[in-house]
Amino acid sequence: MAAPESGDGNNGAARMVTLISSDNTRFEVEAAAASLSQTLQLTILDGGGGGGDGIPLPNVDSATLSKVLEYCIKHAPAAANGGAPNATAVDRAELERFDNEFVNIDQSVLYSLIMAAHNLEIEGLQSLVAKKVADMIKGKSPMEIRRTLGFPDPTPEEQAEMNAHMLEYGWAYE
Amino acid sequence: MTPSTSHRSSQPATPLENDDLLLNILLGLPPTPSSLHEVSLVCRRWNRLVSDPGFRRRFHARHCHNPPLLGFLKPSLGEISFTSILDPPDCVRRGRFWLSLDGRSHIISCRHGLVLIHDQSRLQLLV
Repeated sequence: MAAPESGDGNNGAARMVTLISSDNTRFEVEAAAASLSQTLQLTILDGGGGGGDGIPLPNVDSATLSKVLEYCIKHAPAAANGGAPNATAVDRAELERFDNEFVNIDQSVLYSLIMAAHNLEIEGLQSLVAKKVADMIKGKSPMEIRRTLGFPDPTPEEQAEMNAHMLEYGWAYE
Repeated sequence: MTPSTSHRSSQPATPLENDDLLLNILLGLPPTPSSLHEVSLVCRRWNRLVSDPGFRRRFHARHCHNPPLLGFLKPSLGEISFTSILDPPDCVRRGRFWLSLDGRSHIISCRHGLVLIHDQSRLQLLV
């Protein structure tokens, strides 16, 4: 992904943009980092978000936006290099370590991040948080998955269906 | 210009209630034999989503470069039997993967997950 035109030029400070969360907190961040969001990228390329203006994000609260921007700031340099083909193994390992720590969070925060990454169309973050949920449910039985995700107990009808399937495919569990 | 941060007028309470987001999560499950079977039993909606041929195609495309090693085919006394190397519930029982070769046959070669078998009694090549 290309950095915005005046992003991190050689002769001046990086261009900054302001994002405004749903609870009216203003975040000033480098345009290159905010541009990881496909939703924001065009606005920023059009010159939006600078000066006294800010870009309102009515569906993202300040706690979530703060976390989203933490991800964007960390990943912006690699993204500006077109996926960092020249990144060293150390750089990649550092990003991987960051990602693993980044998703070590409460389920409610994780869910908020999934919604924000979806709304803001931040591809790398979308993959990261989706993978985290997949890792939470892999290798678990249907009942364990329901408990992990906080689903209500199955209705008697649903339970009967699950039991019927277990009878039919019970050979797989022998 | 103000960007729209949502294309929907009402947001689902959790991302798991949004089909697109849930499918994106389920695509990240490992390609083991039991993965989709387990999640298909979570509830009817999940069952409908993972039973969709379009989802199956995307799941296959996502994992076709790292398919799981299910087991191996072993020739023995003119027959070829399958031995699973996975633990339950991913274990594929021998009777569930039977080549139905009733005569003499042998494995000619294997590559990219495909096996070329010569069935000598019926003079056929099987892939």
